[in-house]
Amino acid sequence: MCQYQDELKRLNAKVLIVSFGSVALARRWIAETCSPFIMLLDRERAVYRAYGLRSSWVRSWNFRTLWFYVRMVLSGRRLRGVQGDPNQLGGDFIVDTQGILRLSYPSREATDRPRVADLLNVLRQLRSQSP
Amino acid sequence: MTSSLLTPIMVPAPPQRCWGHNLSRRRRLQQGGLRTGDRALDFMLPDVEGRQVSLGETYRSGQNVLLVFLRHLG
Repeated sequence: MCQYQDELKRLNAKVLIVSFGSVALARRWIAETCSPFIMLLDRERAVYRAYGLRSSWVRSWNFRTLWFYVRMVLSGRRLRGVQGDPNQLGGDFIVDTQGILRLSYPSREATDRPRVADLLNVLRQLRSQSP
Repeated sequence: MTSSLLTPIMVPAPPQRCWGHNLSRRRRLQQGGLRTGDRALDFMLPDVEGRQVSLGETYRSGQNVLLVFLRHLG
C-alpha cells in the first residue's frame, strides 16, 4: 500500500492503521516497514470488537495461513515473529465523508484481505462522486 | 501495510443455511459486524505519539478513510 501513497493523496484518502500492540512494538513495526501511515493503538481491542473482528485460533492457523508463511520464507522474506495475540483477525473498511461504510471487509481467516486494486477502485468511485 | 497480506480473490461468503434458518444474518448480528452501507462506528484512539485521533473528525474534514486493522505486529 505504501507504493500507492501518491494516488491515495490524489484520491483524498486517509489511511489509518489500527493495531492492538504496545507503543514500543508499534514504533518498531513502523521503523521496520517504513510505513508512512498513521498507526492507532487499540490495546483493549474494543474497536476491533465493535467492527466485528474476532480472535479465532482455527481461522488464524489453517493450512492456507501456514502455506502463506512458508511461501514468505521461501521467497526470502524475514518473519518477525508473532507479537501479541496471534489469533486476532484483521479487516479493512472504507468510510466516506458522511461516515458511511463503503467497504466492509472483516477477514474470515488470517490471509483473507481485499485486493489493493479493489480498495483503490472504491476510493476512486468515492472521489468521482465528490463535488 | 504489507501488500503480501492481500489475497487475489475477494468473494463474499455465500449465506449458509441450516435447518431452514439464515445463519449468515444471525451470525453477523451476533458478531456485531458492520456491513457496507451501515454508519461507521466512531472512535477515538491514540497514535504512537499519544495524540488522540478521531475517526469522525477525520472523515468530517472531507477525507475518505481507509481503516486497516492489523492482525499482529509480526
